[in-house]
Amino acid sequence: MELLKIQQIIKYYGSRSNLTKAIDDISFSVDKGEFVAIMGASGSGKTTLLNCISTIDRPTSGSIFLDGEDITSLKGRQLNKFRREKLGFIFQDFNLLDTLTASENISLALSILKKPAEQIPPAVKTVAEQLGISDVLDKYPYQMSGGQKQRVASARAIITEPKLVLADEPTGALDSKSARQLLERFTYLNSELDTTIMMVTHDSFTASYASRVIFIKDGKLFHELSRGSDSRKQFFDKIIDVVALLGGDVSDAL
Amino acid sequence: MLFKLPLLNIKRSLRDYAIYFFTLLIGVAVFYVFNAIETQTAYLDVSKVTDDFIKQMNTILSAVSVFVSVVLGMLIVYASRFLMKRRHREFAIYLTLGMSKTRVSAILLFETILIGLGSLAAGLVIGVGLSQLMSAMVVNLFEADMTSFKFTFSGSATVKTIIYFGLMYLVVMIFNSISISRCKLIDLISRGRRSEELRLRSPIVSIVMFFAAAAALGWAYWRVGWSKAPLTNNVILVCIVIGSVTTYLLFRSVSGLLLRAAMSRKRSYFRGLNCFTVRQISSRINTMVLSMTIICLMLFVTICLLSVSFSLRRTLNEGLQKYCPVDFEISYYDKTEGGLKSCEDVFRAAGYEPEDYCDRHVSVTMYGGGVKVEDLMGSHLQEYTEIEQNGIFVVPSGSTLPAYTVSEYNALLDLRGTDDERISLKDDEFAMLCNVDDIMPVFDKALADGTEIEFNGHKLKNAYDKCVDGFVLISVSRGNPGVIIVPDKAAEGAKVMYEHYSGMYSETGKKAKRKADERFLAAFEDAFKDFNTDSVLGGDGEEPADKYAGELTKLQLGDESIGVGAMGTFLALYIGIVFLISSGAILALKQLSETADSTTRYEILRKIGTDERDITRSLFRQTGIFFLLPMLLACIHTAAGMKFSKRLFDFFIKEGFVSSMIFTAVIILLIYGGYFLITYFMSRSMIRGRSDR
Repeated sequence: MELLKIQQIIKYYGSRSNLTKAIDDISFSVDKGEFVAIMGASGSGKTTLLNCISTIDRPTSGSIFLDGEDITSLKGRQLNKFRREKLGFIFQDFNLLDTLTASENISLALSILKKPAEQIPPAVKTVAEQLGISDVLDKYPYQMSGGQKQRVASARAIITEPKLVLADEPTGALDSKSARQLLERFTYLNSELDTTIMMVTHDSFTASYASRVIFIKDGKLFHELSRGSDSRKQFFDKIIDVVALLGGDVSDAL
Repeated sequence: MLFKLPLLNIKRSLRDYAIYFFTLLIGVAVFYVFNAIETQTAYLDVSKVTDDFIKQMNTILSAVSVFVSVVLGMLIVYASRFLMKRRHREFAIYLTLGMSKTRVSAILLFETILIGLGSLAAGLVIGVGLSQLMSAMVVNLFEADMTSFKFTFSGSATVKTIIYFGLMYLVVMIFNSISISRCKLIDLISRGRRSEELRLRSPIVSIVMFFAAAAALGWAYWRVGWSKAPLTNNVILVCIVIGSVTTYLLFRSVSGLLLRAAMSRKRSYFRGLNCFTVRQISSRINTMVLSMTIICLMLFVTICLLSVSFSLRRTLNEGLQKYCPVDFEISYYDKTEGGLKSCEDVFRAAGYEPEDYCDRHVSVTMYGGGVKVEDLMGSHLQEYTEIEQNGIFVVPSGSTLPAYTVSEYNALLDLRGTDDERISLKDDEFAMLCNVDDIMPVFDKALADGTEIEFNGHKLKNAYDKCVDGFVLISVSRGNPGVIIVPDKAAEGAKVMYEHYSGMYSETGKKAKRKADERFLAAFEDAFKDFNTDSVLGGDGEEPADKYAGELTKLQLGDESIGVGAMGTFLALYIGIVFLISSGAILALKQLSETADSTTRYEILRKIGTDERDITRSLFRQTGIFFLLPMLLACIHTAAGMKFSKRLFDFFIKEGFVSSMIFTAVIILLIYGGYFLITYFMSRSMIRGRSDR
């Protein structure tokens, strides 16, 4: 079932005389329950794409449908409503509120949805178990490791049961062990809870956890890989091959 | 570059500097306005008494100006250091680019000079404008005649303002250069990124501290306001120290307590942004306990000063109308051999007829007669002495109560023309006359017991079972601590203490009365020129001279109360406004910088889809509670402080208290509320500044 449909979106920056095409006619779609990675070098337009989907930015032209609704036409208060009800965010730098404890950070996502207070603590408990952070719930962000922080951020993203979880370089600030733990959690969320995840990364290893990888170069769709029945190692090798084609700068990131 | 950078810097950080500049501006303007009063009062057409008060007031105002400049100086140093801290990264960039520290200091110096000159010039312009309003107030408060509006400009106040503020800016420059020359590059770079370490105190410690502090404060309140035990200076000092320390402790513990209380109410804690708001507030209070304490105490002093001074003027005015119903009063005795018996005789002897200066006049004689306080009080003496020790104005225990005859007292009432109760006594009766509210109930108790007194060999019993509310001598307040009224027969042959000679001028109208007063005083001076006139009028203390005469006129009393009222109002306004802008500025600077540090938090909230409305509501609550908290405690302090001051000067602060409270509230609302609004709107634009749409 098609959840997200991107139709010929274009995003230009700058003026007529000095135009930068961040996204130049990209179309693809994501099905419900998929785990998609978007890969590309820095400046390829992948973050712009993510910003357009997350309604933080608005494309110059084209449409984005989520669950059949054209989100590029949303305005003002509708945008915030859409963001908090339909989407979950995971950022490279966690974006946790440093004044709140882990459990408060997670519960905030529910309380701004005006969920009844008595439902919140049990929900936090459940999601914390799913992400393996039950023991850090009462800690403040500065008392946690990077991996724990990112899992708390992930818990905040999925607790509202969003249609789509958007992750922007989720492993970017993590060491390899924490990164692996986090990605295993993503796989678990995707396979067991049927969460649809869309992740932007320039790291092939991270991308290899996805079920599909979309490559972007200079604002255009470059290639697409599906994992199919491959093992993660085989899929990783395939990704590496494409990355080699993409150009030097991405492989550097390995 | 030396000139361009500072200009650009100021332009760029205009938002940070706006509050600073605004505060300097008000500071300069207020300083000018109050120092210009001297010039404005110089040309006022007022009586000699008022003129003396004006001179005295100007001396006090310029002394207070020194204090004010110290307060403002500290505020400026605090604010500029605070703004400096926010710019450490910028300095780090200059230094890494190879700029010398001297150079950075020079840039700062130039910035300070720019801001200083700007604020001085603008502040003086505003000050001159405001001082025109002030001159209307001066005329009004001193009840002088305002013939026509005259634009006043005070050169001396201008020069003084420039010198004082110049000095303050100089201090700021020195501080800035010292702090630049001392700092290390690594500190400058890393300080910008310090992560917020939240030290959460153990909840039990917070709760214990809070309630212990509240209990101590409660005790101090009770001690100064309600307890009957005597108040010595030491006790008051201890209570002030307790008040200040507990204020600190309350602010220190309140954030923890607040947090716990909010968290325990799960339903509201998990609603919307409440948990974020509560956390923000509690961390902010935690980081500025000391500033909050100082602000709270400054607000407390301000509220007390303003409300007391506004009601003081009114009280004195109304008191004058009520308790000074005659135009003049001379207290007189002549114990020399062959001395004249009465005031009137002295006037006549000097060639003045009563018709020369007045229309109606009456003499009352004050007798000794040997009734001591103890004789009257009986078993209630203990209570009486306790009140006496509390500093209430009473007839000292052990001394004789003054006595007047009933016919003379009633004649005095006739002269006053007021509808006070006339006293009627049988030959074996007496009445007690008093109007000091604290002591009246005690007299009432003693009288209810049916005490008998022996006056001049006559046994007298009380005719009324209560004190009669009244007075003999004129004043501006309820100041009769107790006299007895005896039948005329009983006073025959009693020891004469004084003769009080009062009268009314025949003239009516303000100007005519003033003239009559002058003529009367001239006659008095002339007729009583070989009398001692500087004695303290009292019960039966030592009599300092054989011939004594002291005069008091309604206009003198009026001028005095005008002077006292005006002086109080000006001083209170001066100090109050300076304290208010200091508190407002400190809170505003703190709040704005906290908001600047928190912009990322609001970004996060926005990213996870929080409604803009919820975010601004949270910001409003944060700012509101931040400003309200010290004000709240200050108001509670004030309630106790008022009770205390009521106890101290009981016969003051009574009339028009509500209206003076309203006036105080308006002034506070204007200045403090102004700072709050500016802060709120500026922080709102700050957190909105970064969002793209």
